Amino acid sequence: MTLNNERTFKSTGIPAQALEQQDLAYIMFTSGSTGKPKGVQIGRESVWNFMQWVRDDFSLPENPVLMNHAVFSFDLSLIPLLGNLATGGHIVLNAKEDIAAENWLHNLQQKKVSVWVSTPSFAYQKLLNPEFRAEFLTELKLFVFIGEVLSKALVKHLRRLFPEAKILNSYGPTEATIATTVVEISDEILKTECELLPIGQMMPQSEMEITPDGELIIWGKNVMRGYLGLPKENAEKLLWNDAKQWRGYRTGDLGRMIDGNLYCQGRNDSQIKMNGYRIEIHEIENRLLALSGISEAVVLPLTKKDGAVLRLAAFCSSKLSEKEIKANLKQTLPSYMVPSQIVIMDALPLNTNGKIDRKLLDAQARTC
Amino acid sequence: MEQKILDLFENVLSRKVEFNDELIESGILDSITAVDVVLEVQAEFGCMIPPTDVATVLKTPATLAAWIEENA
Repeated sequence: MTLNNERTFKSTGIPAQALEQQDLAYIMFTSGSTGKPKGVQIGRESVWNFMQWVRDDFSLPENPVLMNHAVFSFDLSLIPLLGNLATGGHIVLNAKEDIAAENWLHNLQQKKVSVWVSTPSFAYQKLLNPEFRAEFLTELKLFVFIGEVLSKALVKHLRRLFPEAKILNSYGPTEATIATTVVEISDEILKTECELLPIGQMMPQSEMEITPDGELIIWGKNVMRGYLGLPKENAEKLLWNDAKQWRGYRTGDLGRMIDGNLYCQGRNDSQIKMNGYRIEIHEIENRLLALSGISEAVVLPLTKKDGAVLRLAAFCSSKLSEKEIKANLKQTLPSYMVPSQIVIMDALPLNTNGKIDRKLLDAQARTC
Repeated sequence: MEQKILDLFENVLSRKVEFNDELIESGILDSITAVDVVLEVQAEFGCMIPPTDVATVLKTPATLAAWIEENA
């Protein structure tokens, strides 16, 4: 008996590519406020649109060699991965131990890496390395930053170390396929008085809406199909434009336009970015309150002048010591979510409205 | 010198530290804020802590003070 002969093929009449576009490209899991990660479903058409955009608008050099430092569960890693596919370039993959190794920059030099893609924090850590400069990394022509606020301070350091290199700032949530806006940080932008750097122009086939209360809503081909198995969250976060056949995504990010440039400035909820990690503050507070001996808990992100998060500080009324609390949190939370400063108080201070006085707590954390 | 060093930390970290606090072990300094401190030391004292020595020099404010006395 030959099975092959019995198999029949029927044509659907739909070209293969169009059929494939109905499929999902990937599902990536991201932090949720209840402590349960949400599966972000990204369609193939979104990835295809993203790849064309990276090829056309990211100023990639010819035959680029892209480096990746991120784990594959972090969608930043898809910029070098898809960027290299879209341009016929190369990608230099790194294991965790490669990046930690002292000779890592030597590795980048040997592989002739021309495009650096990372979070700002990751590059910031390399500033002290004597090899992190144009005279050593001679092929490095382009920096792409995404994942958290890019500070003017970092750009100024890079200008000094890599005078010829282009520096791109990109923005976008996982829910809108990796990145949605991009801008080259020119000297003119750097000279403006505004502490913040702009996040740039929208990718093709997409639009940004700014609601009256400042929330950024991303419309377009890049918006996810939805969270996997979470109809309530989808109803809350996803919108539909029938005329354009576009999905919209409420980012929760706050932003505004100044002189034609888009700026992002914080959140309308308790989600923050620290060193590239997306963190739900409520998730930490919930874990603290779950410990026996803690009756009240508030977690505050303390920020620098440029808006970057310096550290997390927790305030609790508790019978436990700072050490015991940290040890307990470490059992259920990843280390980047454990507040580095824990302040034990008899009771948390209230303001005149009867709410917890966050301003006072912020000031207190900075002086103790 | 002691006060100068403590002010430097307070300025960079927005919190008070004691002269003999364990900075790295306790998590007061992480790899990002350590870079802030190194850059601030360079701006204020004109000397660059070698990257390979950062963990030992920034162990406590006291070890940083000793290193600056020797290298500035």
